[in-house]
Amino acid sequence: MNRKKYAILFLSALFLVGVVFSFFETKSDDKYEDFRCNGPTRYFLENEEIMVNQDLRVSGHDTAYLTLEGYASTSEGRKKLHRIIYMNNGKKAYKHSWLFNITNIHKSVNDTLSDREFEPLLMELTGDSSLISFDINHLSENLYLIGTPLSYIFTCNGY
Amino acid sequence: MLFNPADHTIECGDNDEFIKLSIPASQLLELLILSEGELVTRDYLLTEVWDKNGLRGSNNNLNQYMSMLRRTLANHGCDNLFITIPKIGFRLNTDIKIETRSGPGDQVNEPENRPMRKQNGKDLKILVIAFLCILVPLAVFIALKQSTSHYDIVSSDLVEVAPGCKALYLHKFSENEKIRAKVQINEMLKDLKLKCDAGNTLLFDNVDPIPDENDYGRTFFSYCHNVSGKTLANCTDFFYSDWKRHHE
Repeated sequence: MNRKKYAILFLSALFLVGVVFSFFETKSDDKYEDFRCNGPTRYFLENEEIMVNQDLRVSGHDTAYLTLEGYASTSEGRKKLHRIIYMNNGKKAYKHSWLFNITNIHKSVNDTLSDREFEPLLMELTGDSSLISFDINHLSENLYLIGTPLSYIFTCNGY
Repeated sequence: MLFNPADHTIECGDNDEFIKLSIPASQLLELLILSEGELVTRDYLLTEVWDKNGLRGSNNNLNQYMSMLRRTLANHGCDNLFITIPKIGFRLNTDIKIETRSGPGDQVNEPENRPMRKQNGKDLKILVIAFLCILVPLAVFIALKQSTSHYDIVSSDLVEVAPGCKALYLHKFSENEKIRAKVQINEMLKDLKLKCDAGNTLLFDNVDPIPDENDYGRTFFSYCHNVSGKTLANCTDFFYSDWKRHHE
């Protein structure tokens, strides 16, 4: 009788352990629910310099958008940049890597940068205008390091 | 020798001599016999024989009664019935054969609860150990998960690139790459007119998948402020698609 009782208790404890393990695995790797962060970066690209504030929002693991707002210094002078890259259908590619489909790149009315001038920055974010891959690394208490397959690209503060 | 716990007596040998034991001595003997050779702790005996009878027992009392009991038994030909486990308790010597007899007036049933209680205590101990075997690895797993899911800036390889100024290389560099990185970081700090001291930490990465003389590849550089000694915050990032070209 006692053995049966212990077996039940042991199996219950194992089940509990399994639940806790899966909870932590899920929590740390699979989701960035309500993840929002922003931070500034100066991009020194081939023929231009862009000073931009990036705001990355990931909702669950399905949709995300990246707002880029700042100024670009080009051969034609200083221009305003304000675009939002909308993404959906997010998938976990590897540990901290996420792959999204780009659904739309919205250009604000006050954005004076041409698509050709925006392209070098876009190419650093993604080589393909239909797909984008992000590594989201938790660097410090509230600091995230965002990378692309080519390089780390910016840090941002969660909020 | 026949021990009757109901009336605290020992009946000895062929001459039917009865020895009356004191109540504590009788209870001690009973508990040790019922233990069937298992270790009986001093605390357990003090609780069962003294505390539960509203008395205050001490190790001295216990030693005194055990000594008295040993002497009485030895005087009637039963030596070494108990083995003393120093500072812990006593154990029944299982080399000496003990039989249980039932008979009129036998009240063996009444004290049967005691070994059950002892058995329950043992079961509880096993249960606690089993749970600890599960919970301790679980706690270790959670602790490791918590610490490794964060990029631990303290345990990473921080390199001093200028007096008081430390940089965290975001991937493993060879010794040559480290030297080049240090030079590059100092040039960038100078270019960007940034002052780096103990209040800052720099993040640095240089990715040059096809090394050649013409470029240094992509460079990511972040100028962060240390908060509360080790936490990084408020970083300003700089990204160079081609540092060499930019610098020259």
